[in-house]
Amino acid sequence: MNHDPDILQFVSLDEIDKVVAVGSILISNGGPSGTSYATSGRVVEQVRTNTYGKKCIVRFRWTTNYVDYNSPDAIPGYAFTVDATAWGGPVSDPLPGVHSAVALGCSASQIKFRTYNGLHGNVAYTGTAMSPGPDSFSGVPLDFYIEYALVEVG
Amino acid sequence: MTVDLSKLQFYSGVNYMKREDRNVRYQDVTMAAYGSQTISVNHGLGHIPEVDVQAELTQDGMIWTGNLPEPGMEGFYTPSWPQITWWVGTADLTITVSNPTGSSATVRVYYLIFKDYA
Repeated sequence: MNHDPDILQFVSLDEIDKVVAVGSILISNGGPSGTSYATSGRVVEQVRTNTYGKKCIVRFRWTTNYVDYNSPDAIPGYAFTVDATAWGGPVSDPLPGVHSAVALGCSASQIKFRTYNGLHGNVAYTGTAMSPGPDSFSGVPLDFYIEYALVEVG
Repeated sequence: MTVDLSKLQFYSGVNYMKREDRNVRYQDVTMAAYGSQTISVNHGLGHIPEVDVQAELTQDGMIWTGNLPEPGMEGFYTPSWPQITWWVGTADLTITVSNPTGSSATVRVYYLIFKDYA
């Protein structure tokens, strides 16, 4: 890359973030499954080689719809109901659920992408209160698109 | 001052974040089982700066950024690895590491402190 000194905006002696690698990745996460909705969230990980060869701080943003990008520590929520009529109970008011979350780890040799998909439809209890069956619900698959940069610790 | 353009390590046409001067930007924090430790990092900038705090939560040499999710986080659960919280004032960055596991843990915590205002 050639520098044009005429458009250099500053001269500084202060250290700045040094970006040593950038990239993006698409990870499909099939979503919750199991017998209890409360513990059904699915974690899907992928690993890439850290070709820079040094531990780095990672900056990233992520989206599940290619429109709304989330910050690294975002935990978007959603609402669902629990239908307990099979047990003689009511249908609940909307309950809060964890929609999704993402974390990135960086060692000297690897970049690890960890996605969490907690999105499921409404839940219905099965069986009876005296003999509970598995929760009935359907997980919703999500595609996680992550854009990231590795920054030197310094 | 004369600038040697061949030594420029970056190019920017926009603003940028300036790091506070510091040679080492991490500390190892050791906790007993179910314990916690708080460390204080003096920056002395006189204003509340922008900071970035990350840690090797899984204690395997990997620096994690973001909420490290795990199955069960939708309900009541105990995390499988240490957790960090931090806050920053005009003189210090304070970081608390808590260990919810039944074993002692040593976590390396990284902090980037910028001269810029938050």
